[in-house]
Amino acid sequence: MIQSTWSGGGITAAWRRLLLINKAVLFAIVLAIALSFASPYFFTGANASALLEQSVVMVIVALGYTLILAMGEIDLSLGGIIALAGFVMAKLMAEAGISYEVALVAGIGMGAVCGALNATLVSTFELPPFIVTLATGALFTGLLYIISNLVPISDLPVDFIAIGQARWAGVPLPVLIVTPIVVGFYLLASQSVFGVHVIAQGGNPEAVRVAGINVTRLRLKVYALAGACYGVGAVLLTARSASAQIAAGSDLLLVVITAVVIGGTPLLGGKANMVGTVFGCLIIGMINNGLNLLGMNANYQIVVQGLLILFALLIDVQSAKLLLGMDRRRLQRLRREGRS
Amino acid sequence: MSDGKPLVEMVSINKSFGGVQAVDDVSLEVLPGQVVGLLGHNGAGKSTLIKILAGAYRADSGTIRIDGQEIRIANPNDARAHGIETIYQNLALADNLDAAGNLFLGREKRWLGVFCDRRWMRAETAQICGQINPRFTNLTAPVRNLSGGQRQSIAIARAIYFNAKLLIMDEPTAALGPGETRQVKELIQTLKARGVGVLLISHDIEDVFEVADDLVVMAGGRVVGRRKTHEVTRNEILSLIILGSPGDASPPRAP
Repeated sequence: MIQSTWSGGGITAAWRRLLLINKAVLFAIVLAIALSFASPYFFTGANASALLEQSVVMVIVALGYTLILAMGEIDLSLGGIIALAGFVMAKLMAEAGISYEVALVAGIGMGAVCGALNATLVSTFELPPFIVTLATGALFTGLLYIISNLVPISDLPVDFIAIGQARWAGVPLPVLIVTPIVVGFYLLASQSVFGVHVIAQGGNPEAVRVAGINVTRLRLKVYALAGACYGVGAVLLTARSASAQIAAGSDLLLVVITAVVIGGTPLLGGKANMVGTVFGCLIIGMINNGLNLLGMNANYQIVVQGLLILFALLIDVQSAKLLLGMDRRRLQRLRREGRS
Repeated sequence: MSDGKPLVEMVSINKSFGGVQAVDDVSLEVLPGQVVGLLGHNGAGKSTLIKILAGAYRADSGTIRIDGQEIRIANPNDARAHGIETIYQNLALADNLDAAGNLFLGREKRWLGVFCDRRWMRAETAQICGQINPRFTNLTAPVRNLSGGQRQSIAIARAIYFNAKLLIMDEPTAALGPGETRQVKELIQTLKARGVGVLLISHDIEDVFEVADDLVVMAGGRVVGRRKTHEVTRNEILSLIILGSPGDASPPRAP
Protein backbone atom coordinates (compact mmCIF):
# COMPACT_ATOMS: atom_id res chain seq x y z
CA MET A 1 0.00 0.00 0.00
CA ILE A 2 2.70 2.37 1.04
CA GLN A 3 5.17 1.06 -1.48
CA SER A 4 2.87 1.92 -4.31
CA THR A 5 2.98 5.59 -3.28
CA TRP A 6 6.78 5.45 -3.31
CA SER A 7 7.03 4.06 -6.77
CA GLY A 8 4.27 6.33 -8.06
CA GLY A 9 5.25 8.34 -11.12
CA GLY A 10 6.13 12.00 -10.90
CA ILE A 11 8.14 11.81 -7.71
CA THR A 12 11.80 12.37 -8.39
CA ALA A 13 14.45 9.94 -7.21
CA ALA A 14 15.66 12.43 -4.60
CA TRP A 15 12.21 12.67 -3.08
CA ARG A 16 11.79 8.94 -3.12
CA ARG A 17 15.13 8.58 -1.38
CA LEU A 18 14.14 11.14 1.24
CA LEU A 19 10.89 9.32 1.92
CA LEU A 20 12.62 5.94 2.11
CA ILE A 21 15.11 7.23 4.64
CA ASN A 22 12.44 9.04 6.65
CA LYS A 23 9.72 6.47 6.12
CA ALA A 24 8.59 6.88 9.75
CA VAL A 25 7.67 10.51 9.03
CA LEU A 26 5.63 9.47 6.03
CA PHE A 27 4.00 6.64 7.92
CA ALA A 28 3.14 8.99 10.82
CA ILE A 29 1.48 11.47 8.47
CA VAL A 30 -0.53 8.76 6.74
CA LEU A 31 -1.59 7.37 10.10
CA ALA A 32 -2.60 10.80 11.42
CA ILE A 33 -4.73 11.45 8.36
CA ALA A 34 -6.35 8.02 8.57
CA LEU A 35 -7.13 8.44 12.28
CA SER A 36 -8.53 11.94 11.71
CA PHE A 37 -11.06 10.40 9.34
CA ALA A 38 -11.77 7.44 11.61
CA SER A 39 -12.43 9.43 14.76
CA PRO A 40 -13.70 13.02 15.16
CA TYR A 41 -11.83 13.28 18.47
CA PHE A 42 -8.37 12.52 17.08
CA PHE A 43 -7.50 15.81 15.44
CA THR A 44 -8.17 18.07 18.43
CA GLY A 45 -5.80 20.16 20.54
CA ALA A 46 -6.65 18.26 23.69
CA ASN A 47 -5.95 14.90 22.09
CA ALA A 48 -2.71 16.09 20.47
CA SER A 49 -1.54 17.34 23.84
CA ALA A 50 -2.50 14.04 25.49
CA LEU A 51 -0.74 12.09 22.75
CA LEU A 52 2.49 14.02 23.23
CA GLU A 53 2.27 13.64 26.98
CA GLN A 54 1.79 9.89 26.66
CA SER A 55 4.66 9.56 24.21
CA VAL A 56 7.19 11.63 26.11
CA VAL A 57 8.64 8.87 28.31
CA MET A 58 8.87 6.55 25.31
CA VAL A 59 10.67 9.25 23.30
CA ILE A 60 13.33 9.98 25.87
CA VAL A 61 14.04 6.32 26.53
CA ALA A 62 14.05 5.53 22.80
CA LEU A 63 16.58 8.30 22.07
CA GLY A 64 19.10 6.66 24.36
CA TYR A 65 18.17 3.25 23.06
CA THR A 66 18.83 4.35 19.48
CA LEU A 67 22.52 4.73 20.33
CA ILE A 68 22.67 1.18 21.69
CA LEU A 69 20.97 -0.32 18.64
CA ALA A 70 23.06 1.87 16.32
CA MET A 71 26.28 0.43 17.71
CA GLY A 72 24.91 -3.04 16.96
CA GLU A 73 24.09 -4.01 20.55
CA ILE A 74 20.95 -4.47 22.60
CA ASP A 75 19.84 -3.75 26.15
CA LEU A 76 17.20 -6.00 27.69
CA SER A 77 17.58 -4.53 31.18
CA LEU A 78 15.71 -1.33 30.29
CA GLY A 79 12.55 -2.16 32.28
CA GLY A 80 14.53 -3.17 35.37
CA ILE A 81 16.60 0.01 35.30
CA ILE A 82 13.56 2.28 34.94
CA ALA A 83 11.64 0.66 37.78
CA LEU A 84 14.71 0.60 40.04
CA ALA A 85 15.66 4.23 39.33
CA GLY A 86 12.07 5.37 39.92
CA PHE A 87 11.88 3.50 43.16
CA VAL A 88 15.22 4.69 44.50
CA MET A 89 14.15 8.24 43.74
CA ALA A 90 10.78 7.82 45.48
CA LYS A 91 12.33 6.17 48.50
CA LEU A 92 14.87 9.01 48.88
CA MET A 93 12.07 11.59 48.81
CA ALA A 94 9.36 9.81 50.78
CA GLU A 95 11.40 7.98 53.38
CA ALA A 96 14.79 9.68 53.64
CA GLY A 97 13.25 13.14 53.29
CA ILE A 98 15.76 14.23 50.69
CA SER A 99 14.79 17.23 48.54
CA TYR A 100 13.26 16.36 45.19
CA GLU A 101 16.01 18.05 43.19
CA VAL A 102 18.68 15.82 44.74
CA ALA A 103 16.50 12.71 44.43
CA LEU A 104 15.91 13.51 40.80
CA VAL A 105 19.63 13.71 40.06
CA ALA A 106 20.17 10.51 42.06
CA GLY A 107 17.54 8.70 40.00
CA ILE A 108 19.07 9.79 36.70
CA GLY A 109 22.52 8.92 38.06
CA MET A 110 21.24 5.51 39.11
CA GLY A 111 20.17 4.86 35.51
CA ALA A 112 23.60 5.91 34.23
CA VAL A 113 25.36 3.68 36.76
CA CYS A 114 23.24 0.65 35.80
CA GLY A 115 24.05 1.33 32.13
CA ALA A 116 27.75 1.68 32.96
CA LEU A 117 27.62 -1.67 34.76
CA ASN A 118 26.14 -3.32 31.66
CA ALA A 119 28.82 -1.79 29.44
CA THR A 120 31.61 -2.83 31.78
CA LEU A 121 30.38 -6.42 31.93
CA VAL A 122 30.07 -6.61 28.15
CA SER A 123 33.55 -5.15 27.60
CA THR A 124 35.39 -6.96 30.39
CA PHE A 125 34.08 -10.45 29.84
CA GLU A 126 33.48 -10.08 26.10
CA LEU A 127 29.99 -11.45 26.53
CA PRO A 128 27.14 -10.71 24.12
CA PRO A 129 25.11 -7.72 25.37
CA PHE A 130 22.02 -9.85 24.91
CA ILE A 131 23.13 -12.26 27.65
CA VAL A 132 24.61 -9.64 29.98
CA THR A 133 21.55 -7.39 29.98
CA LEU A 134 19.18 -10.34 30.31
CA ALA A 135 21.03 -11.21 33.52
CA THR A 136 21.42 -7.67 34.85
CA GLY A 137 17.75 -6.98 34.03
CA ALA A 138 16.84 -9.79 36.42
CA LEU A 139 19.38 -8.44 38.90
CA PHE A 140 17.93 -4.92 38.85
CA THR A 141 14.38 -6.23 39.16
CA GLY A 142 15.44 -8.48 42.06
CA LEU A 143 17.05 -5.52 43.83
CA LEU A 144 13.85 -3.56 43.32
CA TYR A 145 11.80 -6.37 44.89
CA ILE A 146 14.13 -6.46 47.89
CA ILE A 147 14.17 -2.71 48.61
CA SER A 148 10.46 -2.22 47.86
CA ASN A 149 9.12 -5.37 49.46
CA LEU A 150 6.66 -5.16 46.55
CA VAL A 151 4.91 -2.15 48.10
CA PRO A 152 4.58 0.94 45.87
CA ILE A 153 5.48 4.38 47.27
CA SER A 154 2.96 7.13 46.75
CA ASP A 155 3.44 9.99 49.25
CA LEU A 156 5.74 12.04 47.05
CA PRO A 157 6.43 15.80 47.39
CA VAL A 158 4.00 18.05 45.55
CA ASP A 159 6.83 19.84 43.73
CA PHE A 160 7.97 16.54 42.28
CA ILE A 161 4.49 15.51 41.13
CA ALA A 162 4.13 18.93 39.52
CA ILE A 163 6.82 17.95 36.99
CA GLY A 164 4.31 15.63 35.40
CA GLN A 165 1.41 18.05 35.50
CA ALA A 166 2.74 21.57 35.01
CA ARG A 167 2.08 23.35 31.75
CA TRP A 168 3.74 26.32 30.16
CA ALA A 169 1.70 28.23 27.59
CA GLY A 170 -0.50 25.17 27.34
CA VAL A 171 2.40 22.81 26.59
CA PRO A 172 2.99 20.05 29.15
CA LEU A 173 6.31 20.52 30.98
CA PRO A 174 7.61 17.02 30.06
CA VAL A 175 7.26 17.92 26.38
CA LEU A 176 9.31 21.06 27.02
CA ILE A 177 11.94 19.02 28.84
CA VAL A 178 12.23 16.49 26.04
CA THR A 179 12.47 18.95 23.14
CA PRO A 180 16.06 20.12 23.78
CA ILE A 181 17.07 16.52 24.51
CA VAL A 182 15.77 15.49 21.09
CA VAL A 183 17.84 18.25 19.47
CA GLY A 184 20.87 17.21 21.52
CA PHE A 185 20.61 13.57 20.48
CA TYR A 186 20.05 14.55 16.88
CA LEU A 187 23.29 16.55 16.90
CA LEU A 188 25.09 13.82 18.80
CA ALA A 189 24.11 11.11 16.33
CA SER A 190 24.50 13.01 13.08
CA GLN A 191 27.19 15.64 13.71
CA SER A 192 29.50 14.51 16.49
CA VAL A 193 32.66 12.43 16.32
CA PHE A 194 31.14 10.22 19.02
CA GLY A 195 28.15 9.57 16.74
CA VAL A 196 30.44 8.58 13.85
CA HIS A 197 32.25 6.12 16.11
CA VAL A 198 28.99 4.60 17.36
CA ILE A 199 27.73 4.12 13.81
CA ALA A 200 31.09 2.78 12.63
CA GLN A 201 31.07 0.26 15.49
CA GLY A 202 27.65 -0.91 14.31
CA GLY A 203 28.95 -1.19 10.75
CA ASN A 204 32.27 -2.96 11.34
CA PRO A 205 33.65 -3.39 14.89
CA GLU A 206 36.96 -4.64 13.44
CA ALA A 207 37.47 -1.36 11.54
CA VAL A 208 36.84 0.61 14.72
CA ARG A 209 39.28 -1.51 16.69
CA VAL A 210 42.14 -1.25 14.21
CA ALA A 211 41.47 2.49 13.87
CA GLY A 212 42.65 2.69 17.46
CA ILE A 213 39.32 3.83 18.90
CA ASN A 214 38.84 2.78 22.52
CA VAL A 215 35.75 0.61 22.20
CA THR A 216 35.49 -0.01 25.95
CA ARG A 217 35.19 3.71 26.58
CA LEU A 218 32.83 4.17 23.64
CA ARG A 219 30.52 1.43 24.94
CA LEU A 220 30.65 2.88 28.46
CA LYS A 221 29.56 6.29 27.17
CA VAL A 222 26.73 4.82 25.07
CA TYR A 223 25.27 2.63 27.83
CA ALA A 224 25.66 5.27 30.53
CA LEU A 225 24.01 7.87 28.32
CA ALA A 226 21.17 5.48 27.52
CA GLY A 227 20.91 4.66 31.25
CA ALA A 228 20.64 8.37 32.06
CA CYS A 229 17.81 8.58 29.51
CA TYR A 230 16.05 5.70 31.27
CA GLY A 231 16.57 7.68 34.50
CA VAL A 232 14.90 10.78 33.03
CA GLY A 233 12.12 8.48 31.79
CA ALA A 234 11.76 7.14 35.31
CA VAL A 235 11.47 10.70 36.68
CA LEU A 236 8.67 11.58 34.26
CA LEU A 237 6.90 8.25 34.74
CA THR A 238 7.02 8.49 38.54
CA ALA A 239 5.92 12.12 38.53
CA ARG A 240 3.03 11.45 36.16
CA SER A 241 1.65 8.53 38.13
CA ALA A 242 2.48 10.35 41.40
CA SER A 243 3.90 7.08 42.71
CA ALA A 244 6.73 4.58 42.21
CA GLN A 245 5.25 1.35 40.91
CA ILE A 246 6.93 -2.05 40.90
CA ALA A 247 5.93 -2.66 37.28
CA ALA A 248 6.87 0.81 36.01
CA GLY A 249 8.51 0.59 32.61
CA SER A 250 8.09 -3.17 32.31
CA ASP A 251 6.10 -2.78 29.08
CA LEU A 252 8.53 -0.28 27.56
CA LEU A 253 11.23 -2.59 26.18
CA LEU A 254 9.27 -4.01 23.28
CA VAL A 255 7.60 -0.70 22.51
CA VAL A 256 10.89 1.18 22.47
CA ILE A 257 12.65 -1.34 20.22
CA THR A 258 9.68 -1.18 17.86
CA ALA A 259 9.73 2.60 17.79
CA VAL A 260 13.48 2.78 17.13
CA VAL A 261 13.34 0.18 14.34
CA ILE A 262 10.28 1.76 12.70
CA GLY A 263 12.23 5.01 12.89
CA GLY A 264 14.89 3.58 10.60
CA THR A 265 17.66 2.52 12.98
CA PRO A 266 18.32 -1.10 12.02
CA LEU A 267 18.14 -3.82 14.65
CA LEU A 268 21.70 -4.81 13.69
CA GLY A 269 23.11 -1.32 13.94
CA GLY A 270 25.18 0.82 11.62
CA LYS A 271 22.76 3.72 11.43
CA ALA A 272 21.19 6.09 13.95
CA ASN A 273 18.08 7.99 12.94
CA MET A 274 17.01 10.14 15.90
CA VAL A 275 14.28 12.01 14.02
CA GLY A 276 12.96 8.63 12.90
CA THR A 277 12.98 7.44 16.50
CA VAL A 278 10.80 10.38 17.60
CA PHE A 279 8.35 9.67 14.79
CA GLY A 280 8.49 5.95 15.55
CA CYS A 281 7.36 6.78 19.09
CA LEU A 282 4.61 9.04 17.76
CA ILE A 283 3.41 6.24 15.48
CA ILE A 284 3.10 3.84 18.38
CA GLY A 285 1.53 6.56 20.51
CA MET A 286 -0.98 7.29 17.74
CA ILE A 287 -1.84 3.63 17.28
CA ASN A 288 -2.54 3.18 20.99
CA ASN A 289 -4.33 6.50 21.18
CA GLY A 290 -6.34 5.74 18.04
CA LEU A 291 -7.30 2.26 19.19
CA ASN A 292 -8.46 3.79 22.48
CA LEU A 293 -10.51 6.42 20.68
CA LEU A 294 -12.05 3.73 18.49
CA GLY A 295 -12.88 1.76 21.62
CA MET A 296 -10.72 -1.27 20.93
CA ASN A 297 -10.06 -3.78 23.69
CA ALA A 298 -6.65 -3.18 25.33
CA ASN A 299 -5.66 -6.81 24.80
CA TYR A 300 -5.84 -6.38 21.05
CA GLN A 301 -3.50 -3.42 21.25
CA ILE A 302 -0.64 -5.72 22.15
CA VAL A 303 -1.42 -7.91 19.15
CA VAL A 304 -1.38 -4.80 16.99
CA GLN A 305 2.01 -3.87 18.44
CA GLY A 306 3.40 -7.29 17.58
CA LEU A 307 2.11 -7.03 14.03
CA LEU A 308 3.59 -3.57 13.84
CA ILE A 309 7.07 -4.85 14.69
CA LEU A 310 6.82 -7.42 11.91
CA PHE A 311 5.57 -4.77 9.53
CA ALA A 312 8.38 -2.39 10.52
CA LEU A 313 11.03 -5.06 9.96
CA LEU A 314 9.53 -5.94 6.61
CA ILE A 315 9.49 -2.30 5.51
CA ASP A 316 13.03 -1.90 6.82
CA VAL A 317 14.37 -4.76 4.73
CA GLN A 318 12.39 -3.78 1.65
CA SER A 319 13.37 -0.12 1.73
CA ALA A 320 17.03 -1.03 2.28
CA LYS A 321 16.82 -3.17 -0.86
CA LEU A 322 15.13 -0.36 -2.76
CA LEU A 323 17.77 2.15 -1.68
CA LEU A 324 20.56 -0.22 -2.66
CA GLY A 325 18.92 -0.72 -6.03
CA MET A 326 18.66 3.03 -6.55
CA ASP A 327 22.33 3.46 -5.68
CA ARG A 328 23.35 0.70 -8.09
CA ARG A 329 21.31 2.20 -10.94
CA ARG A 330 22.80 5.62 -10.24
CA LEU A 331 26.34 4.22 -10.21
CA GLN A 332 25.74 2.35 -13.44
CA ARG A 333 24.36 5.47 -15.05
CA LEU A 334 27.34 7.51 -13.87
CA ARG A 335 29.72 4.90 -15.27
CA ARG A 336 27.94 4.84 -18.61
CA GLU A 337 28.04 8.62 -18.82
CA GLY A 338 31.67 8.67 -17.75
CA ARG A 339 32.64 6.32 -20.57
CA SER A 340 30.69 7.87 -23.38
CA MET B 1 67.96 2.18 -1.77
CA SER B 2 70.60 0.63 0.42
CA ASP B 3 72.22 3.94 1.29
CA GLY B 4 70.35 4.72 4.48
CA LYS B 5 69.96 3.09 7.81
CA PRO B 6 67.05 0.72 8.34
CA LEU B 7 63.69 2.42 8.67
CA VAL B 8 62.24 -0.33 10.79
CA GLU B 9 64.08 -3.06 12.64
CA MET B 10 62.36 -5.87 14.46
CA VAL B 11 64.85 -7.79 16.59
CA SER B 12 64.33 -11.21 18.16
CA ILE B 13 60.55 -10.98 18.28
CA ASN B 14 58.73 -13.79 20.08
CA LYS B 15 55.03 -14.39 20.42
CA SER B 16 53.18 -17.47 21.54
CA PHE B 17 49.50 -18.24 21.91
CA GLY B 18 49.03 -20.78 24.67
CA GLY B 19 51.61 -23.43 23.87
CA VAL B 20 52.02 -22.50 20.23
CA GLN B 21 55.07 -20.45 19.30
CA ALA B 22 53.57 -18.37 16.50
CA VAL B 23 56.62 -16.14 16.05
CA ASP B 24 59.96 -17.59 17.09
CA ASP B 25 62.94 -15.25 17.44
CA VAL B 26 62.26 -13.32 14.25
CA SER B 27 64.32 -10.35 13.10
CA LEU B 28 63.36 -8.24 10.12
CA GLU B 29 64.56 -4.97 8.59
CA VAL B 30 63.00 -2.63 6.08
CA LEU B 31 64.98 0.25 4.53
CA PRO B 32 63.39 3.52 3.45
CA GLY B 33 61.87 3.14 -0.02
CA GLN B 34 62.31 -0.60 0.09
CA VAL B 35 59.55 -3.06 -0.70
CA VAL B 36 59.91 -6.25 1.28
CA GLY B 37 57.73 -9.21 0.38
CA LEU B 38 56.84 -11.50 3.27
CA LEU B 39 55.99 -14.98 2.08
CA GLY B 40 54.95 -18.22 3.73
CA HIS B 41 52.18 -20.71 4.22
CA ASN B 42 49.11 -20.10 6.31
CA GLY B 43 50.25 -20.42 9.90
CA ALA B 44 53.85 -19.57 9.05
CA GLY B 45 53.63 -16.63 11.42
CA LYS B 46 53.63 -13.74 8.94
CA SER B 47 50.22 -12.44 10.01
CA THR B 48 51.18 -12.53 13.67
CA LEU B 49 54.44 -10.75 12.93
CA ILE B 50 52.81 -7.87 11.10
CA LYS B 51 50.08 -7.58 13.70
CA ILE B 52 52.78 -7.06 16.31
CA LEU B 53 54.26 -4.27 14.21
CA ALA B 54 50.80 -2.79 13.63
CA GLY B 55 49.95 -2.85 17.33
CA ALA B 56 47.13 -5.37 17.08
CA TYR B 57 49.14 -7.89 19.16
CA ARG B 58 51.87 -7.33 21.72
CA ALA B 59 55.11 -9.27 21.41
CA ASP B 60 56.15 -11.46 24.34
CA SER B 61 59.73 -10.31 23.88
CA GLY B 62 61.96 -8.54 21.39
CA THR B 63 62.64 -4.96 20.35
CA ILE B 64 61.31 -2.74 17.61
CA ARG B 65 63.30 0.24 16.37
CA ILE B 66 62.23 3.00 14.04
CA ASP B 67 64.93 5.22 12.56
CA GLY B 68 67.30 3.61 15.02
CA GLN B 69 65.23 4.52 18.03
CA GLU B 70 63.66 1.84 20.19
CA ILE B 71 59.90 2.18 20.49
CA ARG B 72 57.09 0.46 22.32
CA ILE B 73 53.97 -0.52 20.39
CA ALA B 74 51.15 -1.43 22.72
CA ASN B 75 48.17 -0.63 20.50
CA PRO B 76 47.29 0.51 16.97
CA ASN B 77 47.55 4.16 18.01
CA ASP B 78 51.18 3.73 19.08
CA ALA B 79 52.01 2.19 15.73
CA ARG B 80 50.31 4.98 13.83
CA ALA B 81 51.97 7.63 15.96
CA HIS B 82 55.30 6.21 14.79
CA GLY B 83 54.27 6.29 11.15
CA ILE B 84 53.34 2.64 10.74
CA GLU B 85 50.12 2.30 8.77
CA THR B 86 48.43 -0.99 7.96
CA ILE B 87 46.09 -2.02 5.21
CA TYR B 88 44.39 -5.20 6.27
CA GLN B 89 43.29 -7.92 3.91
CA ASN B 90 39.63 -7.10 4.53
CA LEU B 91 40.62 -3.39 4.34
CA ALA B 92 38.98 -2.80 7.75
CA LEU B 93 36.55 -0.26 6.34
CA ALA B 94 33.25 0.56 7.99
CA ASP B 95 30.96 -0.21 5.05
CA ASN B 96 28.22 2.10 6.26
CA LEU B 97 30.41 5.22 6.35
CA ASP B 98 31.48 7.30 3.36
CA ALA B 99 35.05 7.63 2.10
CA ALA B 100 35.85 10.58 4.36
CA GLY B 101 34.38 8.84 7.41
CA ASN B 102 36.69 5.90 6.78
CA LEU B 103 39.76 7.91 5.86
CA PHE B 104 39.58 9.86 9.10
CA LEU B 105 38.09 7.16 11.35
CA GLY B 106 39.61 7.64 14.80
CA ARG B 107 41.42 10.82 13.67
CA GLU B 108 38.49 13.06 12.79
CA LYS B 109 38.94 16.77 12.37
CA ARG B 110 36.85 18.31 15.15
CA TRP B 111 35.30 21.68 15.75
CA LEU B 112 34.17 22.80 19.21
CA GLY B 113 35.84 19.63 20.45
CA VAL B 114 32.93 17.31 19.70
CA PHE B 115 31.63 17.87 16.20
CA CYS B 116 32.93 16.40 12.96
CA ASP B 117 34.13 18.92 10.42
CA ARG B 118 32.56 16.98 7.53
CA ARG B 119 33.08 19.62 4.88
CA TRP B 120 36.79 19.89 5.55
CA MET B 121 37.19 16.11 5.73
CA ARG B 122 35.35 15.62 2.43
CA ALA B 123 37.49 18.25 0.71
CA GLU B 124 40.69 16.60 1.94
CA THR B 125 39.38 13.19 0.91
CA ALA B 126 38.49 14.42 -2.58
CA GLN B 127 42.00 15.75 -2.99
CA ILE B 128 43.94 12.73 -1.76
CA CYS B 129 41.69 10.15 -3.43
CA GLY B 130 41.85 12.16 -6.64
CA GLN B 131 45.63 11.86 -6.59
CA ILE B 132 45.49 8.12 -6.08
CA ASN B 133 42.65 7.28 -8.38
CA PRO B 134 41.42 10.05 -10.71
CA ARG B 135 38.22 8.15 -11.43
CA PHE B 136 37.29 8.20 -7.75
CA THR B 137 34.45 10.68 -7.49
CA ASN B 138 31.79 9.00 -5.39
CA LEU B 139 32.68 10.60 -2.08
CA THR B 140 29.31 10.70 -0.34
CA ALA B 141 28.10 7.12 -0.83
CA PRO B 142 28.66 4.52 1.86
CA VAL B 143 31.79 2.61 0.86
CA ARG B 144 29.82 -0.63 0.54
CA ASN B 145 28.61 0.76 -2.77
CA LEU B 146 32.13 1.22 -4.11
CA SER B 147 34.20 -1.12 -6.26
CA GLY B 148 37.08 -3.16 -4.83
CA GLY B 149 39.64 -0.81 -6.37
CA GLN B 150 37.98 2.28 -4.93
CA ARG B 151 37.81 0.68 -1.49
CA GLN B 152 41.50 -0.15 -1.80
CA SER B 153 42.15 3.47 -2.77
CA ILE B 154 40.59 4.66 0.48
CA ALA B 155 42.74 2.31 2.52
CA ILE B 156 45.87 3.47 0.69
CA ALA B 157 44.81 7.11 0.93
CA ARG B 158 44.60 6.67 4.69
CA ALA B 159 48.24 5.62 4.76
CA ILE B 160 49.51 8.34 2.44
CA TYR B 161 47.48 11.13 4.01
CA PHE B 162 48.86 10.51 7.47
CA ASN B 163 52.46 10.39 6.21
CA ALA B 164 53.24 6.75 6.74
CA LYS B 165 56.91 5.84 6.99
CA LEU B 166 56.14 2.17 6.70
CA LEU B 167 53.09 0.71 5.05
CA ILE B 168 52.08 -2.84 5.87
CA MET B 169 49.90 -4.40 3.20
CA ASP B 170 48.22 -7.68 4.00
CA GLU B 171 47.18 -9.45 0.79
CA PRO B 172 46.46 -6.15 -0.99
CA THR B 173 45.41 -7.74 -4.27
CA ALA B 174 43.42 -10.69 -2.94
CA ALA B 175 40.00 -9.25 -3.78
CA LEU B 176 40.91 -7.28 -6.88
CA GLY B 177 40.54 -7.72 -10.62
CA PRO B 178 43.57 -7.52 -12.95
CA GLY B 179 43.17 -3.80 -13.70
CA GLU B 180 42.87 -2.90 -10.06
CA THR B 181 45.82 -5.12 -9.16
CA ARG B 182 47.93 -3.16 -11.65
CA GLN B 183 46.80 0.07 -9.99
CA VAL B 184 47.90 -1.17 -6.60
CA LYS B 185 51.31 -2.13 -8.01
CA GLU B 186 51.68 1.37 -9.46
CA LEU B 187 50.77 2.80 -6.07
CA ILE B 188 53.44 0.73 -4.40
CA GLN B 189 55.96 2.19 -6.86
CA THR B 190 54.74 5.70 -6.01
CA LEU B 191 55.14 5.07 -2.28
CA LYS B 192 58.60 3.61 -2.88
CA ALA B 193 59.61 6.72 -4.78
CA ARG B 194 58.50 8.83 -1.81
CA GLY B 195 60.80 6.85 0.47
CA VAL B 196 58.04 4.92 2.20
CA GLY B 197 58.98 1.40 3.23
CA VAL B 198 56.47 -1.25 2.24
CA LEU B 199 56.00 -4.61 3.89
CA LEU B 200 53.94 -6.75 1.55
CA ILE B 201 52.30 -9.95 2.66
CA SER B 202 50.99 -12.18 -0.08
CA HIS B 203 50.21 -15.71 -1.10
CA ASP B 204 50.74 -14.84 -4.71
CA ILE B 205 54.42 -15.26 -5.50
CA GLU B 206 54.07 -13.64 -8.92
CA ASP B 207 52.67 -10.44 -7.43
CA VAL B 208 55.46 -10.21 -4.91
CA PHE B 209 58.21 -10.98 -7.43
CA GLU B 210 57.00 -8.13 -9.56
CA VAL B 211 57.15 -5.37 -6.94
CA ALA B 212 59.37 -6.47 -4.06
CA ASP B 213 63.07 -5.64 -3.72
CA ASP B 214 63.67 -8.29 -1.08
CA LEU B 215 61.84 -11.48 -0.25
CA VAL B 216 61.59 -12.84 3.26
CA VAL B 217 60.23 -16.34 3.73
CA MET B 218 58.73 -17.55 6.98
CA ALA B 219 57.95 -21.13 7.99
CA GLY B 220 56.96 -22.51 11.37
CA GLY B 221 57.22 -19.11 13.02
CA ARG B 222 60.84 -18.48 11.92
CA VAL B 223 62.48 -16.60 9.10
CA VAL B 224 64.00 -19.29 6.88
CA GLY B 225 65.53 -17.01 4.30
CA ARG B 226 65.92 -13.50 2.91
CA ARG B 227 66.88 -13.01 -0.74
CA LYS B 228 67.21 -10.19 -3.25
CA THR B 229 64.39 -10.59 -5.75
CA HIS B 230 66.64 -10.26 -8.77
CA GLU B 231 69.09 -12.85 -7.47
CA VAL B 232 66.66 -15.63 -6.67
CA THR B 233 64.60 -18.11 -8.64
CA ARG B 234 60.94 -18.90 -8.05
CA ASN B 235 61.89 -22.50 -7.36
CA GLU B 236 64.27 -21.52 -4.59
CA ILE B 237 61.60 -19.39 -2.95
CA LEU B 238 59.04 -22.17 -3.37
CA SER B 239 61.29 -24.69 -1.72
CA LEU B 240 61.90 -22.24 1.14
CA ILE B 241 58.16 -21.89 1.58
CA ILE B 242 57.40 -25.57 1.28
CA LEU B 243 60.46 -27.24 2.83
CA GLY B 244 61.60 -24.42 5.07
CA SER B 245 65.09 -24.69 3.53
CA PRO B 246 66.71 -23.76 0.23
CA GLY B 247 66.99 -27.53 -0.43
CA ASP B 248 66.50 -28.79 -3.91
CA ALA B 249 62.87 -29.20 -4.79
CA SER B 250 63.62 -28.70 -8.45
CA PRO B 251 65.98 -29.83 -11.16
CA PRO B 252 69.31 -27.95 -11.06
CA ARG B 253 69.54 -24.81 -13.13
CA ALA B 254 72.33 -22.95 -14.77
CA PRO B 255 73.19 -19.79 -12.80
